[in-house]
Amino acid sequence: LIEEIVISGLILGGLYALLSLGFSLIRGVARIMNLAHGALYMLTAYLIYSLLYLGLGTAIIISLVLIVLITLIIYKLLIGPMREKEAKAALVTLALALVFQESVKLIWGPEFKSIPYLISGYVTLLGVRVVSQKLLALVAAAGLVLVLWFFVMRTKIGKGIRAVAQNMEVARLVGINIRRVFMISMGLSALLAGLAAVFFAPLYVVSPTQWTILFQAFPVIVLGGLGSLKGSFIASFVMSFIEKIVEFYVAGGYAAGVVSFVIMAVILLVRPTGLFGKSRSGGGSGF
Amino acid sequence: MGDYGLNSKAFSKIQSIVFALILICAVTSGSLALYLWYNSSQSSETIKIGILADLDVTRGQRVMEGALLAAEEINAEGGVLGRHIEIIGEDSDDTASNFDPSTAILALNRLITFHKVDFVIVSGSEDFVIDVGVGHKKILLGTVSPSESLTQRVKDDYDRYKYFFRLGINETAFAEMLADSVVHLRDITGFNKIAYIGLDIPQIRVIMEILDSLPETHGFELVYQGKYFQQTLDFSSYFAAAETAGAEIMVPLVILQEGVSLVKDWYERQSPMVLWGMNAQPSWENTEGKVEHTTVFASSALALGYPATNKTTRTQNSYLAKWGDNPGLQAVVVYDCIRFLLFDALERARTSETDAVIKALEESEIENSLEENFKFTSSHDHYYQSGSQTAISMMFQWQSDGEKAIIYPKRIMEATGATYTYPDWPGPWD
Repeated sequence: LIEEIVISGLILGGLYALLSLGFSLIRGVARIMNLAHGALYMLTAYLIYSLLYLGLGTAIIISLVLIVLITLIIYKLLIGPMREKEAKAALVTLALALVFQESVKLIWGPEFKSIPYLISGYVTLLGVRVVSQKLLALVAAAGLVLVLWFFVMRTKIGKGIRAVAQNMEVARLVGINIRRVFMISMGLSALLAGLAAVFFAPLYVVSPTQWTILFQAFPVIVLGGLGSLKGSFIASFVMSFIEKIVEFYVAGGYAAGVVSFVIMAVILLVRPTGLFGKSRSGGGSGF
Repeated sequence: MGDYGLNSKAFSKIQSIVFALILICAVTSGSLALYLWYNSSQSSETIKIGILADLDVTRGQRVMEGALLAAEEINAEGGVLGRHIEIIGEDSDDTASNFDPSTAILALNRLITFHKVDFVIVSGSEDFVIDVGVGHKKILLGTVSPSESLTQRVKDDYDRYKYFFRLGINETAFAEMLADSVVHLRDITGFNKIAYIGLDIPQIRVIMEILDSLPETHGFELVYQGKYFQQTLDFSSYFAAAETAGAEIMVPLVILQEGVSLVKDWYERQSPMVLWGMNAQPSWENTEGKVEHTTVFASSALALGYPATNKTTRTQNSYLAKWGDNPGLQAVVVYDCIRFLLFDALERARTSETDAVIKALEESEIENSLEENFKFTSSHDHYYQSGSQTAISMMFQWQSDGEKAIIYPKRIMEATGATYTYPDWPGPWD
């Protein structure tokens, strides 16, 4: 049973990591609470579903390009101008999520859809049967986290992103193009949501209300600290293992869902900045 | 005065006769006029039937289709009580994940107070609107909710809740049906180790309780009981636990879209258990055929092509001709309700007056598209005898190329010559 907890905890953690990292990236850099982040996941899944007739690989590539473009246009027209008014920007993104939801209903109908697996079958790990698609999703999540880490820590653009996240004014003074950094971060964030859809959406179904998957990752985001990439990554696996342990040993799936939100409430009361987040007076987001 | 040749006494007699004649004529013609006016006004007025369902989704749309078809057929035959049937739909939004009961209540109020419907067929939001409906003293016919608390209210407070009738079967009847079907599966397979996984909601818990009693009632070995919550995305842990416990039969009690993930998980991990139970959402298309060899309760007995009653084939053909598709269970239930049940009750009551129709419904015993003898219990529940081999309890197995083979009830399985098939990976069936 321990092996099963480890494997399924890692897979769930992978999904949480991709969703929360994308959310935290734009939160940490541009201070935007993008509540439409889950909608980007959902929309990518619908785009893949619609383009399946082109072949799965082509559908995925086109969908990812489209979701990044759509996100950048929306950022430029709607979110960007509101960026400095955090609450208003958050409300705009929430409204956007609802617009996406209703648009999806209009275009694809209210019924759920299904995307085929990228690979079929199962492998046995530590004596546990793991569906190959789930293992692929986990490996992909781990790979993407590494790529993101490398990009942020080792590239020039990544340094710019970190500089903006740590202190926007100083970054501006040293000549970093803040707007460009915001756009790149927004695009990266959308790409992470899209890639989460590529690997994880086939495991589930796709429906117009699936953008609320973001709310399942909220306890992770709060635990890690709003806007903290490192925090989000660690919290993803902490939370997924807690959920799985509760699910297996304590009281089933229902309690697992509840316990993560209880943890979120406790964190908000005891340490509102989360494990790795820093308060605003600290000068940055704890990126 | 004598010149007139009539005395006052004689005049008074003639006058009385004329007066009497005038009075008789007036009363007769007045009554005739009233009768004609009443009849003409009655025949021009329609009987309005409200449909309260989530009209945005397929189920609600099918419900409307069933209702419209029934009304069209009755109207083509001259209506009922000399009046035509009119169908009015209102959207309850009850299948939305962020469902707000006040939406359904508002929609019901619109049907009753604005559209002034005579009856309301409620498909999905019964638990939330029953009090509002009975408050208006309006007959409500519920098609979806299996909650026994609804008909318990009729039992506990008849005068207030006598307006509610259930067309579908309740949770206990369903659970008993499921238990009976599992016994049938054991007869086919010889498997005795059973596990279940169910959505943790009150209606499903009632079914779980019946399954929990299977060891005592039928000698099964219940090796695993799993409960999941609605946001569950991954079933591998449940499968792993059931497989470790040695389960041979896995009974899913799944009502929503997560059933697709469950089936995909089962197929991909080549789980050594047969799936048998309640999981209507997976289809051949949305699982890319991975649903093959799973057995589920039929969402529409008609779609299986088995003539359960003398009316089954006719209903199916009418529906196909009108809407170009097979009717889902909800469409048939609503069609049957209007076409046979209400029609019959109104004819017997000879009025659409509420109390008379309630009495007529209570005495209903009719054949419809699904059952040869549909009737209500004293608490206005759909009468279902445990173990009865009717079409409403039909289960089918997905077989090669998406074919559906009726596996339960045994009588129908044998009549259709169906055979139960096993997955083509290793399992206790080897």
